[in-house]
Amino acid sequence: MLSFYKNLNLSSKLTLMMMMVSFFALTTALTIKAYYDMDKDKGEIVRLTSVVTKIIGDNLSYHIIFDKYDEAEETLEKLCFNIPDIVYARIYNINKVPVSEYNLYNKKVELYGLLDNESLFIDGFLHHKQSITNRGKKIGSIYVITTASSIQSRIYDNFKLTLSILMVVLIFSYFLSRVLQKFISNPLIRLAEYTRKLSNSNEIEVLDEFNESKDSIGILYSEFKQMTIKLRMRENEKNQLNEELENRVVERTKSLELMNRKLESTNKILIKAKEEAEAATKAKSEFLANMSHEIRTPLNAVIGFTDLLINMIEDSIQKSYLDSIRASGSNLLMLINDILDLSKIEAGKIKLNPESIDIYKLVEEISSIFSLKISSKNLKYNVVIDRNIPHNLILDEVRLRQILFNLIGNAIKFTNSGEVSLRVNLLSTLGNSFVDIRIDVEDTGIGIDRNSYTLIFDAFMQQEGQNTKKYGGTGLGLAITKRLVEIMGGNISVKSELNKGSVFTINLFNVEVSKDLSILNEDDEKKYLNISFENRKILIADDVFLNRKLIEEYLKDSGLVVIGAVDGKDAIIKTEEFNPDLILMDIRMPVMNGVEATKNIRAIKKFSDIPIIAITASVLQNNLDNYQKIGFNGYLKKPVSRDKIINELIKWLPWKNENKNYINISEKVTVHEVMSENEIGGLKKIFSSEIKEKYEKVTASGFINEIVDFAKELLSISEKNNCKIVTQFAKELLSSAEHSDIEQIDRLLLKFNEIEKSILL
Amino acid sequence: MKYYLLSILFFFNLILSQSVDEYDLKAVYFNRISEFINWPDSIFVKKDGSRKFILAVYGEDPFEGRLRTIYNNYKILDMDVEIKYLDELDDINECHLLFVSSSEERNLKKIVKQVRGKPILTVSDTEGFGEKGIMLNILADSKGVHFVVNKTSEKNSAISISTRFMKYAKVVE
Repeated sequence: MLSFYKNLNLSSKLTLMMMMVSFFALTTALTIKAYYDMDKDKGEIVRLTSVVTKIIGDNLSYHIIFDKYDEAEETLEKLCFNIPDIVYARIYNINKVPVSEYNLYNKKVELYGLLDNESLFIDGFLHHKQSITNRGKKIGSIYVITTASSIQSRIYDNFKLTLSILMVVLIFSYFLSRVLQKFISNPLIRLAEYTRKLSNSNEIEVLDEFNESKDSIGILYSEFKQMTIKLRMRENEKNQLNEELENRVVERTKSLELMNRKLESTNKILIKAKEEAEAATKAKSEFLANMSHEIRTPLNAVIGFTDLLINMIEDSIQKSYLDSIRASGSNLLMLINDILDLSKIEAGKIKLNPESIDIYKLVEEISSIFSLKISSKNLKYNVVIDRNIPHNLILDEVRLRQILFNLIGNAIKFTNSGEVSLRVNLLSTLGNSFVDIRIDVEDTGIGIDRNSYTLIFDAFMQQEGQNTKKYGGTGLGLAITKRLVEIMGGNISVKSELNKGSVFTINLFNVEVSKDLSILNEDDEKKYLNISFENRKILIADDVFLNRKLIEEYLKDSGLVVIGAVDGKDAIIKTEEFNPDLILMDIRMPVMNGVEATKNIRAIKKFSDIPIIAITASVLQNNLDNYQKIGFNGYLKKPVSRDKIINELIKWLPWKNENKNYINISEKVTVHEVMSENEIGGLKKIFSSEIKEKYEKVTASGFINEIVDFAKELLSISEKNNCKIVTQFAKELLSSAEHSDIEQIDRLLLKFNEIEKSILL
Repeated sequence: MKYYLLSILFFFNLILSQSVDEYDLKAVYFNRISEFINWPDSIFVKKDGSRKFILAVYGEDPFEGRLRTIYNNYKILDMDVEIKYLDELDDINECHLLFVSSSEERNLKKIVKQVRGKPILTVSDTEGFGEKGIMLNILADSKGVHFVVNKTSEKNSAISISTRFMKYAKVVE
């Protein structure tokens, strides 16, 4: 019921409310009226009944007084029968003994203990008791029951009247409330509709004009209207603010864009400037490099002619002048060489050429180069190498040599007494593939001021107050060293105390350990330069004639009989025909490739164990295992050098060294070996301006024949002057040149520079 | 209480032995009849101020003197009762209720004439006396007691008889 009421719309609710109120009010009023009427009716009927009863009683007093009770009953019947409302009557004598009775329907009736003149309405009947008197004296009592039929009909009439009034009033109130409820519901409905519209739309419309009354709904309506007006005002303000904000954002964006553009243009300018600067630097470096080269040529002439003049002039004063000229020229040349190096580094022209080197051998070589100088200055020289350092490290030998050369050269230069030490230590190993190395060069020289630690690595910087005249040098050595170390991925640092000495420390990280073990045998390789295999036969299978010819040339003096085959098939035939001791097999050949040929040869029982060496041009990672799986015993990578071939052949063929007198590098120059004054003087002769000029020329041109000539000349001079180091160098260079080993030639030519430096220090 | 005792007496007489004593019953009836008779109130007041109901028997006393015994304890209209026995007509004036004995049939005319206009109720128990001028004649048969009222005599007297009574009595002229 309540939920039904809740779900009604407002106007129905109001109507229902008003109707319910009027219904209850009316019902209450009518009910009270009905009760009042009934009470009044009851009083009336009681009065009537008592009158009737009194008459009956009066009529019976004779019978009572004379105890004529039978007659009394007859009389009673007669009397009551004429009054239809009476259904029962009973007479009591003065002693309250019932004496006569009248019963209309002969039904059993229930009597109540009433006092005289008392009445009781029960079940639509009126019970009434009254005294019977004679001459004012009570002589008995009469009890009557009447049907209060008149009352009932009265009540019924009343009920009918009430109902009809109710109906009329309700109908009337319905129409009235339908009209009246509009005064309340209409503004509320409009408000509700308005709020719904408000919540559904983004726009705020001001509530429209309405007949506003002064009651609370009218106040609510007008307040709401005020509120909407304010809301709209705020909305407008907000919109304005938003617009302002948007405008500001747009302006800000514009200014930002402008700034961005400016920044971009600035950026472009900067990039352009940077490029220009870089180009300028590069140009500068290139210019320097070119200029250095250009300067060197006339300088060489100056030095060369000075040398000539020295030999021609006897006058000691003039000779000393010429010595000054030559010394200055040499210094200038050195300076130019250093500038050239630095320029190359800064121009990014230096590229590392890492390969397997034996650092032990390098240290020995450098030590032997400086031995002369050290002995002339009466210094002690110590070399300590950590034995755990692998022999085969992948490093740029030329550059490492240059670094060590610079550091040790400096150490010797700035040390007048005491000792110079070179220590190579293993810092850590990463698996078997990589190592970290630390190289210390320690001296007991003049030392470096703490403030100059960083300065000394800058170009053209020497320690403040350094006596340039005394020590000479360009001030570029450490700068170049530092750059080189950094290019190699390491670092360099210095610790020093004035007048006590310095320690330069180089750390090289992640130095790869070569898996190519051949380097270990490098010494032996060189040892077997002129090796003899005593009438052994080898077969070379290669479709390119020149390749076969080259190898034949390499092995010309080795006492080997070389048979050529033009393809795989030919190789099989020739093998069967000549029965060689070893086969060099090219992989890529027409008709039948090397792999097929090898398999076929292995299939022949006689040759199942014959050593077959693959020659491959493959740039892919070569692995001995792979070739062994196919059936090869070993492999050589193109281009094949003589050393490589010999080195490989000695593994498989019996051999002997024919020339024992041949230079053997393993005859090491120990650091303590004392160089004779004679030797040093010879060295100075060797590094004459003529030789140096030739050196420059061959370095610049790179023609093999020129190099050969240069090497031969150097060899003859060094042998004449009994200078072992240079003789060794010359022979190596000659050998490399004869075998067109370009890399080796480059390395050796650089080395020449170092040897020269070490002697001139 | 009084009525209760009377009623018992009545029942004894009526039901148990009608013949026990008819006059005891009739004696009690004087009391009851008085309830329906209107006397002028002043006649009961004596010279000394007291009130007394005077019941007189004229002629032979059929009650054999028991009236005095009965009304010694009972009252009529709330008054003490004095019983008088009269032989002289002149003495009739001094009573309120005069019982005329059956022996006085000859003197009936004189008696009726004597009480006319006076506040005296004449009562008898003899058949025919009512028609002859006695105001109230009490008769009894097998059905019980019933009354005869002489309306003329009543009209001629200074008393009145209640209609409640007359309604159930036989009325003669």
